[in-house]
Formats: sequence, structure tokens, C-alpha cells
Amino acid sequence: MTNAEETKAESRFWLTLQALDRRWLYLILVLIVSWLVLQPIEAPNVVSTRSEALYDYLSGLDEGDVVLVESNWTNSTRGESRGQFQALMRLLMRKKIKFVITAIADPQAPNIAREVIESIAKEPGSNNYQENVDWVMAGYFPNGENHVMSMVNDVRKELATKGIEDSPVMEGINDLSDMKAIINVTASATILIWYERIRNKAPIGLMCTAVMSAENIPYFVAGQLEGLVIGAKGGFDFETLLAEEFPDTNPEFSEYTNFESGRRYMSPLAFALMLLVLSVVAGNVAMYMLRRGGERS
Amino acid sequence: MNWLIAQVESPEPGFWGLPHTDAPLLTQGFFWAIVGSLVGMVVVIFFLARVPSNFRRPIAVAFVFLAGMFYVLEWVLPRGKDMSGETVIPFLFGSNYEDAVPVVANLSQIIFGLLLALGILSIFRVHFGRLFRLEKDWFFSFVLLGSMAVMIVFGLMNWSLDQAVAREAITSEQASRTIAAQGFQFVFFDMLQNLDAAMFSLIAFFILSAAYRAFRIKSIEATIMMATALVVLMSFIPIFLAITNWLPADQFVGNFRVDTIGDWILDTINAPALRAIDLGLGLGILAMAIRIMLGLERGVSVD
Repeated sequence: MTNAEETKAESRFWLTLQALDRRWLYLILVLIVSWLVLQPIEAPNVVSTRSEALYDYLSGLDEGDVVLVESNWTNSTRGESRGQFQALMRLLMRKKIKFVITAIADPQAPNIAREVIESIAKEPGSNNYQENVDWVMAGYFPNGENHVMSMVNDVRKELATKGIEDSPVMEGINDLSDMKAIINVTASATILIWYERIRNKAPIGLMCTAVMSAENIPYFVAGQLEGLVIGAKGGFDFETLLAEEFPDTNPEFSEYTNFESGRRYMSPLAFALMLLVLSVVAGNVAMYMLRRGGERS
Repeated sequence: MNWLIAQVESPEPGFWGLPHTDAPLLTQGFFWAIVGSLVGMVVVIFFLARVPSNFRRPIAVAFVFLAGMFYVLEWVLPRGKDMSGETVIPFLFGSNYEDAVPVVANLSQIIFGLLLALGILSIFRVHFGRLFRLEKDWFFSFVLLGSMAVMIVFGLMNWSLDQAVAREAITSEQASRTIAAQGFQFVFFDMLQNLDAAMFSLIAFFILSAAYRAFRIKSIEATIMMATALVVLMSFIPIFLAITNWLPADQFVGNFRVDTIGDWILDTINAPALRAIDLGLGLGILAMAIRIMLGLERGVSVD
């Protein structure tokens, strides 16, 4: 092969790499994700300080304390939100912390939350949590801004619109400040309303999708958020912390489920992100080599 | 200034509402209040429909202004203490602003409910029209209306089952074996939710394709941005974190851990930049809100 032919073949290779048919990328992505969903790799975790802050706060609450959980996720962000929500529910039930579920982002959200809660309530360690006794579903409120404002002003009056103000869960709750935390599990900008309207009545914890993390980190840094759980990694963090507090090596907790969606979705996500990094690097290397080849010729 | 001792008497039950009671609603005059409100609404709409068009805009703007001002007042009205030491915000006719909030909130929820009805009416108008005239893509209209009807029917049936379980008329075990519960399970959880997840998962393909094609280093700025993005991305992947996890976090070398670098970028570079953006955005929203409330923004209110 002559030098000219070698250069031509080389540049053809880089040209192909630079303008790879996207269907190849799609195929690789499908194969990686499918394989790892079926055969997850148990990667070690380094828990984020933001996730740990929320876990430690909730874990330190007393039995019988009440928190408000605003569940604003649906299956469109199941990969990230479901793991977070499951781990949160496990922690609350194991610690016997009562909770009220509301939703402002999507009318589908309460049903999805209920399905997760009911399945976790049957697990060992969940203290046989009962609806209307240990937790209560307030349901969907269509106008988020007004709902939050009313909750801050008069929580009993606002929840009376759903007829749950006399539920045993609401015992001793006369003001929002009687609730120990407001946890927003969300895939949309619902948390902004709480920042604006909360008036320091209760600590806020946020469990959001990864794409929302950058805009919410300033609130964690400023101390407005008690803790911040980000994306699938945040769900995995919460599960890791659950496993540290309730290790299956301890016979008392041997039947507990600590890991579920958080860890299961982590390895496909990690490898999909690695594919993304590799494809960006490959595209840039190809562009650089082609430029260099052009300069040489 | 906001914490002046206003010595406002907290009204019981107050201008904004009746006390909460378990007594039947009819005895409280609620029935006539609802009938009166409906009649009043019809009368108002009747007169509004006859208002000359050049007067409609000022009326709409006045409503927008008053509605907007209600939320502004929360931040500007002075706060005081009543005789029992409770914080109150003096409002109309000696009432407490905070008592007005649930009333306005409920009003707003009702308006939102009416908007939903308006949306459904609009869907019916467009798609029934297309279906009856057998216009192009009529089949999609048929599927849309059919799916909507099925979801509404099973949704309502499932809701009534939930009510029956709450009244302890049937057990949840019995409820779960009914056609209504199984139908709802099928259309809502097995179909809609999985379709929802499938639609959203397509984004992964677009992101991968877009990152591969568009993320090219053509300048210093692009290089910095890509390096930063890659480090932050790596800080969310446990496998990358494990590479530097052995470095002790409390020593100098701990600064070179992937998670430390990622956190530093997010907390020290990203946070101030976002605060600046948020401040600009907030000022923009404020200006826009003032323009809308004063009726200066065309295309928003009645034009």
C-alpha cells in the first residue's frame, strides 16, 4: 500500500468515525442497557454528602413524627424517581414516621405513589403501614401555587378540602410548622413554589431528576434545602445508606429489602453515560485527526 | 415595619368563611349560596356579553390586576399580633389576610376545574367534528376519543370502589377482584404508565445522538465546557468514583477525588452562576408581571 493510499484509508476511517450512522449508536445503547437491566453489575457506591444530609435528617426524626411528601413524579421519570421514592418510603416506614402524600404536578402521581407505598408496606420491616392510620393520601391539587400558599397559611383548612384533616395522621398538626419536613419527590419545577412560599415553617428536602440538579444546588449550598437527592445516583445513595443502617448481615434485618430500583437502574445508567462520554471523545478525536490530515496534505 | 403591633382582632368565624362543622351543609345556607352564585355568574356573563367590545379589555385588565394584587399583598401588608399573640395580616373589613387565602385558593381550584372542562370541550369539538365528517386521520381522533372514554369510565369506577373501601362497605381484597379495579389496572398501570415511560426513554437516544454530533471542541470555551461536563458526569457514575475513592477525603490529595472535583464545580462555579441567572430571571418576571397586571402586555389579556 502506497503512502497516498494509506493516508486515504486513514482519513476514510476517521471520516466514518466522525459521521457514524446514529443507528449504530442506538443499537449499542439498546444492547448495553438491555443487558445491564437483566444482569446488573454491583458497583461500589460513594454516597453524596447531599443525599446523606437528607437521610441523616429523616433518620434522626422521632417515631410518630409527621412529614409531608409531595409526590410529583410519574412513570416518565421512573428510572430516577421510583428508586428515590421507594427508598424514602422504606426509611419512613422503618422509622415509624407518619406521612401525608400530596401531588401538584400531575393527576397520575397519587396513583403511582399509592402503588409503591402499598407494595413496600407489605415488606418485612415496614411495620405493616396502614392507609389512614400511618399515612394518608391527600391526592392531587390542580393549582400548585395556591395549594402551597394555603398549606403554609392553614394546613388543616387546605387538607379539609380532601376530608383528611381528622385522620389519625393529622393528630397534633395544626400548622405546617408541626410537620417535621416537606419532602418533594419531583420531576418538574414544583419545588420553586415551596422556596417562595414556605416562610421557614418546615425544613425542605428535595429528590429530583439529574437534569434539575444544577438549578437546585444553590439552595442546598445556601441551607434552604435540608438535603438534596439527585437522579438515579441519589436513589442508589439512599439505598446504600439504608443498607448501612439495616445491614442484611444482622439477623434482625436479614429479611429487609434495601436495594431495588436505585441499584438496578444504576449500572445501565452508568454504562449509558460512559457510552455518551466515549462517543463525544470519539467524535472529537476523529475531527482532530481529520484536521491534522488536512493540514499535512 | 412588617411586624407592627396592629392590635387587630382575629375575627371568628370572620369575613372570609364559615366555621368548619360536620353539620349538614343545607342548614348553613350553603345550598342557597351555591344557587345564588350560579345565578350571579349567569347574570354577570350575560351582561359581560353585552358590554361594548372597547370596554371588555378594561374589565378584563381590572380583574387581572385585582387577582395579581392579592398575591402581591402578602409581601407588602404589615403584620401584627392579635390579642392572643397570633400573627395576623390586617386585610379587608378588619379580617385577617391569611383567612382569605384558602377562599381564594378554592376559587382558583374551581377555575382550574372549569379550564379542564373547557379543554375537554375543545377536544370533543375538534375530534368529533373530524370523526363525523370522516376527514383525514379520522381514525386517530376515534382512538383518542375512545381511549379518553375508557380511561374516564374505569377511572370513575375505580374511584367509587376506593370510596366503598374507605366506607368499609367492601374489603380492598374484594375490590381488587372486580372488573373495575382490574380494568383500571390494565388501562392505567399496564398501558398508560408503560407508554409514558417508553416515550420518555426515547430522550436517551436523542441525547446520545446530539452529544456525539454537536459536542465538538472548536474553541477554548468549548474545551472548558466539555472538560467540566465530563468531570461532573463522571462524578455521578459510581464506577468513575471508585477510581479515586481510595484517596483520603480529609487530606490534601482528597481534593483530586472525582466526587470532590465534581462537587467543587457544582457548588463553587455552578451555584453563583445560577444565582446570577435567577436574579436576572426574577427581575424579568417581575417586569413582565407588572406589564400583565397593568394591561400593557398585548396578547395576554383580552385584545
